[in-house]
Amino acid sequence: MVLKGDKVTMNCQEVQAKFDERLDELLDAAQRGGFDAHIAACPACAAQWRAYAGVWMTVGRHVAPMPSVGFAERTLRRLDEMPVRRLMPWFLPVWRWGVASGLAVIMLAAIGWFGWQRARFVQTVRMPKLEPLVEAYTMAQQDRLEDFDVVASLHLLNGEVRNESQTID
Amino acid sequence: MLRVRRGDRQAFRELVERHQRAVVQTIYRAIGDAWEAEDLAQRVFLQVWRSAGRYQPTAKFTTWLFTIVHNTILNEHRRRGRRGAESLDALTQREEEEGRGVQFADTRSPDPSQQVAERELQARIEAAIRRLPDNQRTAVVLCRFEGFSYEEIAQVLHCSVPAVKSLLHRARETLKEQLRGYY
Repeated sequence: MVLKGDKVTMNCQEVQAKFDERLDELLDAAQRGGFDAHIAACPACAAQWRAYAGVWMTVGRHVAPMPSVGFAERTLRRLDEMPVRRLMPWFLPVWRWGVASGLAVIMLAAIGWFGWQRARFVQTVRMPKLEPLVEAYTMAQQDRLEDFDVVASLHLLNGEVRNESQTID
Repeated sequence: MLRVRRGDRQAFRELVERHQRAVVQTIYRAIGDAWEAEDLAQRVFLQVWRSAGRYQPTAKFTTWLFTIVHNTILNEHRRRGRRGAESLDALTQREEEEGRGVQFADTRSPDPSQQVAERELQARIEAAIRRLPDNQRTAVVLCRFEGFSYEEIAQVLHCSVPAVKSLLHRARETLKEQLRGYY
């Protein structure tokens, strides 16, 4: 944009960037003058502007139905049918918050108690039962080792026997 | 509105009468069903009555009112769900393909072809506006039909002024494509 005295001159790019502001009447007098002068002189921008402004004019022609007769009365009637919250103390915010907080405290206490009980159960009931299991496992491992030693010795013995028989042959 | 906050029913009635046209028509342009639009508009006013205590006099009333309108439309679209929206689009498409105006052409009227063309144009604009994304549609309706400024639209949509400019620009480009041949 170039300012010459009170007049503004715009190029095509600047004019096209101002389409929305021109439509919504947001350009000041000098800018509007520059915009309109460019549109008058440039057929390409003029065609684009006509399309852009034209669609906005067309949208503005849309006619939506008016509210039907008695709309306000019907709204007020619906207001009467609405449950009156003020008469029910349970709906008052103070009560609601109180009840919600109470329930939250009870739930937290229940969860805490349940967790504590579970921890105690694991400690007192499950843990001692593990000891015999560990013991049995250790014994089994030892047995297996012993078995392994026996089998290995037998193999060794057999080999030796075989070797001996080979040497005899 | 201050009287409404104090529970003045007469003030509430005046408020409904003053804003009913704008609210009903804005919802109609988003929903496309006059009966449903009235029902939702009544819910908007009931919400105004219920939330009157939370209204801050520093905010412009219409901005606050149209925030409720916009949220009501969003909730309605969410309620209808994806399937509902698709069937609505399909219906609009079918109406356009069949040429809805032709069915109601009255050959006895002085200029039936003009009436048919006008009806077709109305249906086309309505469909084009309804197809816009929620925020773009609200921006277009508030700017074009209710004369809201960019700042007011930004308050309704909880976004910045440049975001409103961008929404309007994209909406206008889309409308230009969809209404090709009608301007």
